[in-house]
Amino acid sequence: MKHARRHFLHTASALAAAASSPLGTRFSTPFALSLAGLGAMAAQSSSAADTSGPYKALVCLFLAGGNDSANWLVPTDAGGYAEYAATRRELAWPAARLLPIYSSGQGAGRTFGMPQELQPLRDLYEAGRMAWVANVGPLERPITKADYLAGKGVPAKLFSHNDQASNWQSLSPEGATSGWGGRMGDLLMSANQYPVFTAVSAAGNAVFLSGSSVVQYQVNTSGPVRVNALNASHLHGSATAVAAMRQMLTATGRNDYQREYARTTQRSLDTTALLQIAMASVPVPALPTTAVALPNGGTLNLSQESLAQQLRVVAQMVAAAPRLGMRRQVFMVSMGGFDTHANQMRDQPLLMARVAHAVNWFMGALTSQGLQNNVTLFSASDFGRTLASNGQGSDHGWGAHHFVAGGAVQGRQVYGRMPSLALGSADEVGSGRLLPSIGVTPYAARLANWMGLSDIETAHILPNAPMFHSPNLGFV
Amino acid sequence: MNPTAPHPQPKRPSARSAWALAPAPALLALLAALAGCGGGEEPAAAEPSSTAAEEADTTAAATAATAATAATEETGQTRATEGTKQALAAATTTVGTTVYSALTVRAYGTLAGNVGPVMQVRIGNALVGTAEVRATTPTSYTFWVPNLQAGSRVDVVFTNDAVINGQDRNLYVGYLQSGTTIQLPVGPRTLIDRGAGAQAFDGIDTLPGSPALPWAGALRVTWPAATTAFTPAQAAAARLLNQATFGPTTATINRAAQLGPAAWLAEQMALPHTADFVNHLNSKYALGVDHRPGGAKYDSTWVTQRFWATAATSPNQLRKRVAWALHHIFMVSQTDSNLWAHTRAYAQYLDSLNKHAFGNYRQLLEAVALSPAMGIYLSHIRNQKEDPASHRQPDENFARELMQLFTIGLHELNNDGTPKRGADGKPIETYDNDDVMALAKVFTGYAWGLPDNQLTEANFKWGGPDYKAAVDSRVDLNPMKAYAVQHSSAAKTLFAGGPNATHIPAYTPAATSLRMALDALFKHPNVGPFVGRQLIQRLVTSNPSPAYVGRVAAAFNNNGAGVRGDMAAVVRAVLLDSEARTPPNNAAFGRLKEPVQRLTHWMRAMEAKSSSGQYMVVYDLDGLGQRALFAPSVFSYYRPGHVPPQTVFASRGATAPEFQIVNESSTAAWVNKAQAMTGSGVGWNGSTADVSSTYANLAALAAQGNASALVQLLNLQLLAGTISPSLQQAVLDAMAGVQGNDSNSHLNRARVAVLLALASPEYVVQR
Repeated sequence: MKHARRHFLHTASALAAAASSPLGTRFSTPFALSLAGLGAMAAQSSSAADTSGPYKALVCLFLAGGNDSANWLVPTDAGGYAEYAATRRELAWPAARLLPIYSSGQGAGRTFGMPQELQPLRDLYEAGRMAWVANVGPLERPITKADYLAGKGVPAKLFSHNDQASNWQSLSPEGATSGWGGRMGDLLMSANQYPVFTAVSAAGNAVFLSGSSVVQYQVNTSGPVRVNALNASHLHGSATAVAAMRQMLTATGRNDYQREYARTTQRSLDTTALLQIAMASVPVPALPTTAVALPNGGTLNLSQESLAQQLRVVAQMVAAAPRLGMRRQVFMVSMGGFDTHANQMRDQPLLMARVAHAVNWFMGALTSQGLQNNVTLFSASDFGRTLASNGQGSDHGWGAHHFVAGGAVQGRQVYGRMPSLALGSADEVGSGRLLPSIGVTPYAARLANWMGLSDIETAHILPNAPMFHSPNLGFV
Repeated sequence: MNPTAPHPQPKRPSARSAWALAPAPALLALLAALAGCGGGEEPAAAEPSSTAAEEADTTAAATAATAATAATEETGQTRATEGTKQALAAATTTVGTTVYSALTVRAYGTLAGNVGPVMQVRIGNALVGTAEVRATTPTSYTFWVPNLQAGSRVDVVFTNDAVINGQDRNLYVGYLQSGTTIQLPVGPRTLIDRGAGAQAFDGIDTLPGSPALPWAGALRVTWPAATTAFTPAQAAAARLLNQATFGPTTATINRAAQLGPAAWLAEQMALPHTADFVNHLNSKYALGVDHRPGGAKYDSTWVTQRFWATAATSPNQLRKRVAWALHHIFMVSQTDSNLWAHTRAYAQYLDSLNKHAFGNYRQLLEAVALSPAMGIYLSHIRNQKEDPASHRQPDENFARELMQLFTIGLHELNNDGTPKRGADGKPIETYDNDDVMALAKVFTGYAWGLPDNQLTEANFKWGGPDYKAAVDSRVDLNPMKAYAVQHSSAAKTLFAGGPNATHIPAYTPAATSLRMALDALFKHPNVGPFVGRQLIQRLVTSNPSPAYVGRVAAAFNNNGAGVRGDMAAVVRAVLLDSEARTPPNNAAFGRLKEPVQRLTHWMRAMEAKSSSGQYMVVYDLDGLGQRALFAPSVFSYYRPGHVPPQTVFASRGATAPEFQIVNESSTAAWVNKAQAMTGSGVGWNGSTADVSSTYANLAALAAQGNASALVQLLNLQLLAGTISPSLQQAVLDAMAGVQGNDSNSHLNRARVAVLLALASPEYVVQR
């Protein structure tokens, strides 16, 4: 096994090197992007792939804008809640709105709750299919508050949206060319009959899914989009226009922009029908069109929720995976609106409900297909937010609590260490910006291990992994 | 069988003729066929080596020639074929006093008994060639014809009509081409003379011209005069207008061609600013309280509709396009539901981007900072001062993005936009979180611009426009005002210890604090290259050279009269730079057109009109990732630093921002949208698509059968005169499949031609 992995790594690096070298432009030829080309690449390394066992998929749920997760997982023991309320002031949920959760791993006497809007997530937690991971954030290596104050080992461009979103997804600020989901895909794509579907985004372009070999494949909230004109017999009365259109769309362009645009079009034309047919053949239920009542009096109609729509597309692709010969896939879905500088207490209930109901529906849909143990969903976000209030909301922070859900998750537990919520504590670096106690790297490494990557392979996709000890992060 | 004797074919021309331009395999085969079989009417011009077949069957020669061309196409040697077609299209040669031209008949057929339709080509009733059309898709059959000129009678005769075992043999003619003249088989210059043999020439039983010959007969064309192509100045004008406007129109092309770039810019800049967005919202709000926020007839997308209306129709195009570029940088997006009730404040914000487009960047900054729409979007409206007792800190949202996105960016820059590097080789960060927190204090105490005697703490927290008042107070149109009680009195230090350090002493009044802070940011040497590069990217090219950025930054730093931040000088520097004006000679120049621009370009070039008059277009580009005015976040629709992974751009580390919203779904969605644009239209007014084109100009040319003029108009207006031979072929072949010769068929020819052009990778790229 070890030998096989080493060989595989070698092959993958060679592919990566080829893709980034001038000679690697061969991968930009139509051949490389055609299914045949990707299949041939996969075949080169198939002897080394270690993807035994059942199908697995990882789903990144990105909460765009920086989620104030300190309000999602709240201490409920007397001391803990008092600390929370004193720091957060008008941003604190009343204790009465918090649903208790089974708490383990955080020391005697500590208890926690989740706001009632998160009831569906809380139910998953209580059922052992969801876990919390406390105070996660980008770190180059573990550091202390003293290190931070001395400027030692502080990640670049903290508190900046685009840079920290990128940091979460790639371990580098904006400008990164690959993310750890895509790099994982580089190592896993050879296991798939259609490597083009290895890394799939339903949330637009995200560096998370870019790899050295893997190209992120993007679908919209209703799935892949086909070119209607090519499925017609006539266009504006012309019987010859369809053939002319087909040739024109992918004609070799005369400049970089045309060529790259046509390449993406080619990939679309090559794959859409295949994917649509496969997705249409799976019995994933439709999203409910009946609105559910929310605790604050509002309603939520999942069929009109972008996140739920994205997750349904993912569920369809997961269910269609056997038909497409897929063994390992990485997905990305996303939802915005979390940058709650103002109106936080007005807006947060709906934000929470949207996420909780959509994730709960997704888990139910997977269970209905018998796939609940094959998919692990994890949350990510630009950053956590300041514990201190600006009067109406919170500002850009750093560490944040995140959740992991799925049948494979060792749930009903809060992993890591819940930080002190007191201003001035060793856990915060000003205004209640939490110094992460768990890096994104070990969080990602755990997920990579679950996907079947060895420690060596994990270090390949997460280069600073050796900087971290292995804490107790067996959440999946 | 042949009513007249075949006309001889010309000798092989000399090496100096157009033949020498394209020594492609197909051409060589053609030459060989001609050399071997050339007719002997003009012995003086004969090649010395051409002695064998003076009396050979010239019909066979022509057949061989056409077969050579067609066969080459079928083997897929498209490049060679392209060259051949080019050469043939351009070729004339003179033998004695006779001028021979290459005449291409683009044809296809249905076979019966495994025999295709046979077509004879005649000029002035003289047979010049015959070919069996075995191709079932449009294919070129080329003949050398003598003395083809305006007024010449050209016949394409279908001689072997038959039905065999239920297979109907038919001939379809897409077009006839000689040189740059391309004639469709429809229109007043064409007719079909039905009948076999001599009946095809008897002038009896004639029908209007048509692409289909389902029975024996002659398609007769009175050859047209050559179409006047557009001028190089017009093409250059169209190119400028793609960079500087929402799209060229016939009138603007001619105006810009007449004036030249500099004078056209000056003329545009002299047009006064009008508050189009606010005027529109005022006209709506004036209809009554039910048209104001909270009313039953209120519609927050009025501003979106106005955007499309002005982009499509305003003469103030340069200002509108520059303001759109500024919108990308100074993003306030209607995705923020907090703006829903303040659409007119948002309209005022958009107007201010237009107002200052040729003004001074410092004034623009202040207008942005005090705009209530920006205040809502980046939450510095009602921003409270710090309170040590409750640990409350001012909202940092606007302060951070003001530095990161609106003025100086994250890294110290050289004047050419390249990053400065520290001793460790890494880029130098322009600010840290202390600067953000200090600047956040500057932007405390601002709220709605109520009358000066109402600037109370209660109004700071809760006061605002009352849209239900009988008299519209228009408070939402005022800049935000400082409420002294909530302005932080703390000292604020920006860029401490650096060359750009600014200290705002404690108890400095709010207005002075703001002025000092904006001055400090405005004077930071980063602004010119940081903003200049982005304007270049939005208007001209995704990857300007550092020298180009440096020239634009220099114009920002000093307009020549010692003024910093003169946006008119910056816009001139962007658009008149030699890198912008010189037609591109490298594959990396240019940019992908953003979806909004693709739609506005079509509206303008194709004179699309709104049936409601309101341009009710809102959701059309959702599938392309760019609903106008609804960017996902303050980071706009896509990032100026985006490097599309695993592309030729990535291999060079080159930015191509618009590619951030290009993917497998959006490319398909664009073709689908182009289909709608050439069909029922875009938008929705409650009963029909709201914005559509009649394609009247193009349809009129189709009705004349004048494909050359049609393609040239399309080429100029949609492609700035740069259509590729392969796209032109695709357009012509798409039109070839439209049957009929009525007005509906002519409209369909126009529509399908535009569809192919719009959907092409050529249209979506601006060079």
